[in-house]
Amino acid sequence: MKREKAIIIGSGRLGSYIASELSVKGHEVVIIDKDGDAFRKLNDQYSGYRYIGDAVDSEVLEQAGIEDADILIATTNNDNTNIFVSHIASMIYFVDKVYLRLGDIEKSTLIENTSIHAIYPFKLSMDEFNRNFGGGNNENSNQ
Amino acid sequence: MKIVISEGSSQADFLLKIFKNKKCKLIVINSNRNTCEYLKNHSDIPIFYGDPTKKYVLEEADIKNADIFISLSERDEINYVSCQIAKKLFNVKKTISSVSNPKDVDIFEKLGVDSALSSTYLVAKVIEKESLSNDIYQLLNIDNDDVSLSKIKLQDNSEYIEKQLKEINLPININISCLLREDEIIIPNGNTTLLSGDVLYIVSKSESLEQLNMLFRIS
Repeated sequence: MKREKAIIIGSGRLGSYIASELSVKGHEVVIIDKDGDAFRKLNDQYSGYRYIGDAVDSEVLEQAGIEDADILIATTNNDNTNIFVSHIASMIYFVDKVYLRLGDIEKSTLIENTSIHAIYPFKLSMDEFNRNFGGGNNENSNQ
Repeated sequence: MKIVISEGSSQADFLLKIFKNKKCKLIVINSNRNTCEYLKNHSDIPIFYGDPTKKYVLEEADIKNADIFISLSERDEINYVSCQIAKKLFNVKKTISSVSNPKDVDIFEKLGVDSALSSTYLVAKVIEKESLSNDIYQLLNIDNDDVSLSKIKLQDNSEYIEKQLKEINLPININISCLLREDEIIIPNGNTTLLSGDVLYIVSKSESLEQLNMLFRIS
């Protein structure tokens, strides 16, 4: 497996989980958060870098090494931050794989016709709900 | 002309006063309830309370096909996303944004916001202009600051006095487009002779300004 360089924006539950996973798998990881306390959520085996700063500032992204990053994943709880940072990553620094977390599905128009991939926690929960309770078959009900 | 003013408090208030008498259809969107109340009490234009990065707020404010969308938030990501939504979903013709981080001026314009303005960036530009020699005034920048128009008054001791333009051999990126001699406006050609006191209007590439400064510096 190729060792890739990943930048994770936001060390919340999702961000810290992804950072830990990628780090354990042997990738070079930098995680950025405004709040240094947020890094406590990282797994003990996390061996990447921690960077305290606001990722909306392109200088912070440069310090984190965005110029030669292969992956950027924007996971903060602020959709606008995630969109802005992922657009910068994809269209200014030409990062190959860019993912963002989006709470508001209506904002997905802003990543249409780009190579950015979106993760919609709301849609995932809804799909899960529909799989379990929708569709008319009650295969899960006898437990 | 339909103009949308999004976010900002005193700046929004100021712009409203400027545009009010100019027969513009104004729409205000603001996510601060107190600012909304204040603006409502001081004007009779429609004020919408809400987050300007939300589609339903912009829908409610009816910004479709607006001529200009101005974003004045202190947070650059809010400015960026609301300008993009205005453009992509509501067919707004021109988006203008203030930015807090001067580095975002270039980023915004590269990513498709029509104009981005930062007060720090502007101050830096003014200082840059002021630092040019006093005999040269930079009048105007055109096309994203790539092209400059400068004004130079030729002094008695300039080496170019009594010379024809074709003898001077200016660099290719610097062109004397017009000169003022007393009250006369002259569009020069190669045979035009420069005289002391002539005021030259020079079009150049902005990257050549320093070179221009060197050429016309009084020794």
